[in-house]
Amino acid sequence: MSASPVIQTRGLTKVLGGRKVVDTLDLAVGSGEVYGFLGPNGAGKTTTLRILLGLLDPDSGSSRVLGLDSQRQGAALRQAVGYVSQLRSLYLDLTVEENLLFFGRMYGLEGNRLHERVQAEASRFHLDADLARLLGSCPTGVQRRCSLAVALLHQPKLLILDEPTSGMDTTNRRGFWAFLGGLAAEDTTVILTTHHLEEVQVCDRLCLMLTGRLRFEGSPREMVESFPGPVLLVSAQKLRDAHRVLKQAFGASLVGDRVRIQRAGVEIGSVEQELKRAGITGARVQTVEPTLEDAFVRAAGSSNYDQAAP
Amino acid sequence: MNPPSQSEVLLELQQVTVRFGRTVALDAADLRVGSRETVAVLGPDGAGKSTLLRVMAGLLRPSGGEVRCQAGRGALGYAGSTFDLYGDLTVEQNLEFFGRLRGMEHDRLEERIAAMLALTGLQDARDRLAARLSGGMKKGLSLACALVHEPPLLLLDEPTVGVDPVSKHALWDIVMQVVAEGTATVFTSCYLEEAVYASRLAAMAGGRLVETTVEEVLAESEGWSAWVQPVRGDLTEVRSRLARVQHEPRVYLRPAGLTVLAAEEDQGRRLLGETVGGDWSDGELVRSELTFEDAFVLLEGRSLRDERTDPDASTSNEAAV
Repeated sequence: MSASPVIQTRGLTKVLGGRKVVDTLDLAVGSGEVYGFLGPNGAGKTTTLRILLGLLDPDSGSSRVLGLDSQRQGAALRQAVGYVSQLRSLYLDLTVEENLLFFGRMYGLEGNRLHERVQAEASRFHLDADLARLLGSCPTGVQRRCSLAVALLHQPKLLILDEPTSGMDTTNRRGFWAFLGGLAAEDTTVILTTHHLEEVQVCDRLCLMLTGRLRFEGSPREMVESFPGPVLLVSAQKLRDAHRVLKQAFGASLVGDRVRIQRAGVEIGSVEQELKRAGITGARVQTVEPTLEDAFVRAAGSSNYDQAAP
Repeated sequence: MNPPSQSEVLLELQQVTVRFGRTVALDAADLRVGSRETVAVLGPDGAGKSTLLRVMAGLLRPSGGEVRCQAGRGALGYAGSTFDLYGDLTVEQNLEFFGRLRGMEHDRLEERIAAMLALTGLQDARDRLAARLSGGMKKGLSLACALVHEPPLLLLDEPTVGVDPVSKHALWDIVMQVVAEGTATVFTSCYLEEAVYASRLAAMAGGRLVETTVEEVLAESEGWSAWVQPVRGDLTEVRSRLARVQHEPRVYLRPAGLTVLAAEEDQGRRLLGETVGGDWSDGELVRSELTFEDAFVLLEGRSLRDERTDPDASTSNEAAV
């Protein structure tokens, strides 16, 4: 991390509808970092990103991005940053190429330079074959890639991505994380939110936001280590029945073809006992190391966060 | 391949084709859904999953073929992949609106609204504007609106997209409860591990549909492994190498390290050498299990390669998976 952070916030607070959506948030993200912003739906991630970009004013606290004040220099800041929102903000009734040209001009590109940049990003995101298609008739994956290409046209030093892989298939997701690695190597700072926790290995640091506050900040490895204890995996012939019983007893989830008990400190013996009591025989219980998703579930469970509550 | 045997057929697609201009979004698809069945529709972006569901829901007229719906289309429940409820109505008003749209009467409607709020845990949010809900709650409300009139068949397009891991499990718990109560369900997903919630799989690619099962997908990838090279400390180097493999989903970063999918260790080293670079192919490789996503990636990759070498592969439906 270099001496002057690309993003710095102090005591950032925002109240919406009587609720502190962002609560005295201090962030510092350095140049060339890939920084993952995690948290349940409604934790305040998108609101924070909007404040950083000067699209929303905080009630108190300050935020500086690329050396500019988010509130007073928002317009200049947005010219310098690449931002991909969850909402597709491109024009569905323009072609892929028309979108790229239009937004390129909005970023002040023109002439040969504009066409060079459009070509470069179209080829980086494998959009060449789709350039003449109306964006609205393209599949989600193409639309997503087009948003990314648009955000990078002016070669920003900071790229902010709000759930960039949401709705992408496996191949595109893997391709996306690979591409992100290349950006970081070019010294572009990347901030992103995602719900695909197993993929954020590419991040240097993560923060976990719960009800407007930072619950954790550190490397992916540190996040797993800060919620220690093995996870129990249960395989059974009657998987659905086993899930029902273990969900009741230990809040277990069905993940893949196993029941996963993410809660820390559950004994194998007590799991076997519960299954036996329900008449489920032949089940196999094994322990595995927790993953980032397990850490996330543990963190969310340990706070006041309640998924049904606003 | 897996026709519903004893159960009553609720919805049947015969050779259904949908064209958008020159694009064939759905290519002579056959599918039967029986009562109490759960069908997962899986496949990459642009495969035709949403088109299939929209045709089933009666939102899209097929260009060819036949859709037969025993229950009558008005009886189906459908929740689209994007938020398509009324943001300026409250949670309860949305439920009421969709209930009335289905011709529900006062007492029955009130009872069902209460049941749906309880099912999705939205009781405390009943007076909130739908636009102000978090992503997970919006998905819950879409589900509730699709279910309010107790449809025999529920169609869900990407029910968990954009939903956090905790809320995702909660949503699936709700769907599984509805399934257990006897509602047939067809859902699309680009998260392949969600296939486990279904009794049947429909794999789609390029508008074509092939029925398969979790076991069949796994059997196809038998003999393959994920070879993992532990990465410790600084990620800068491995990240810049990874940037070269955007076209190769068989090489990716797992929590445990740089991962390559291959049958034999030698083959894995070769692929690593060709993609991320020579020096990475010499390190320690630890053999570990394939995920279901890995198996699907292998299947997709194989069919792509088959199509390249065999121009007539389009005559075989199997090649589409």
